[in-house]
Amino acid sequence: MSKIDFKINKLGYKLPNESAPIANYIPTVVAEKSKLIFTAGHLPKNVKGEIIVGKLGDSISNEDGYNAAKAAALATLGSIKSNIGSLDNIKRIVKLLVMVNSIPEFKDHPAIANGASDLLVEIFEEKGFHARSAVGVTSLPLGAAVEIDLVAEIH
Amino acid sequence: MSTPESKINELKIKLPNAANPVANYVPLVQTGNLLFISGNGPGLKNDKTPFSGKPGISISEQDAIDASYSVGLNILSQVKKHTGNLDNVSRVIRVFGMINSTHDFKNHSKIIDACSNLFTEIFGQDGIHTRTSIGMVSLPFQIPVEIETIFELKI
Repeated sequence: MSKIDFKINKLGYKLPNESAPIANYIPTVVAEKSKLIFTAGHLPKNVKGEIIVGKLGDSISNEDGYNAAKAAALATLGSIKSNIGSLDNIKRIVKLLVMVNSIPEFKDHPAIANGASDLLVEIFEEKGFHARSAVGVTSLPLGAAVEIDLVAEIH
Repeated sequence: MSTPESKINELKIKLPNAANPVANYVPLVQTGNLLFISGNGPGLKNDKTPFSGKPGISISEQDAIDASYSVGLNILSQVKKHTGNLDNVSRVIRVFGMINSTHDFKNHSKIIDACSNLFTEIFGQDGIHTRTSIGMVSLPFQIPVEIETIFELKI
């Protein structure tokens, strides 16, 4: 078992398999020369494998939004592992984009996005610190509450 | 052997003129072999009227799909203007699709697929990319779709 897999288990998380895209795209692409891996936007799923839907500030609580962001971030890691074999090959997390399905007046984007950031720092420690943007969007595919994509540097 | 340029000819696709940016930014920036391309909008519907509005409300879903295809052509024009030849593209890395939408819109994938399908048609395997799709409360000039992309070049 890789070091990062061990860490993930120890923290009590379960790494999902690669997320199957819902249309004509793939979950990850490696830019070989730049040593960067890009992920597609990943949607959060609950333990039953259903997409976590809802609108922050309306039909889903901030706590559930935080956990949805965590689940979506974990999903990106599942897809990365499936592409590069081992999460130990991640040199560092570079950039995170957290998109929150929210009402126009919503203000707690950072608190929701922290679900993803906390998870990455918990797992990768100092290699997990990243640049981040968090935005509120008026809609997301399939009504998802949160969508996350990231860029990581690989060995 | 089929190349992106021969495919464009074979499909009788006429690329539009590469548009100038509408404000203080450049159409694209190359760093290493990565090409970061600004958000592109669609051309005119049937070369006549601007695509404008939110799909399902003020523009039909089919028109939004056509707009997404048109955005794809505009992106290819920018890449061709920069590299001189689409055969210089090694792969499409990322498509970031923004849709001018209502708060309950869910069919993002259907619309952005028109752009993704164009890329896979032209570049084959190398055209398959990661993708993120989101719904925006507004877009410049009320266009229905704006798409930002990252391409990788053979250098």
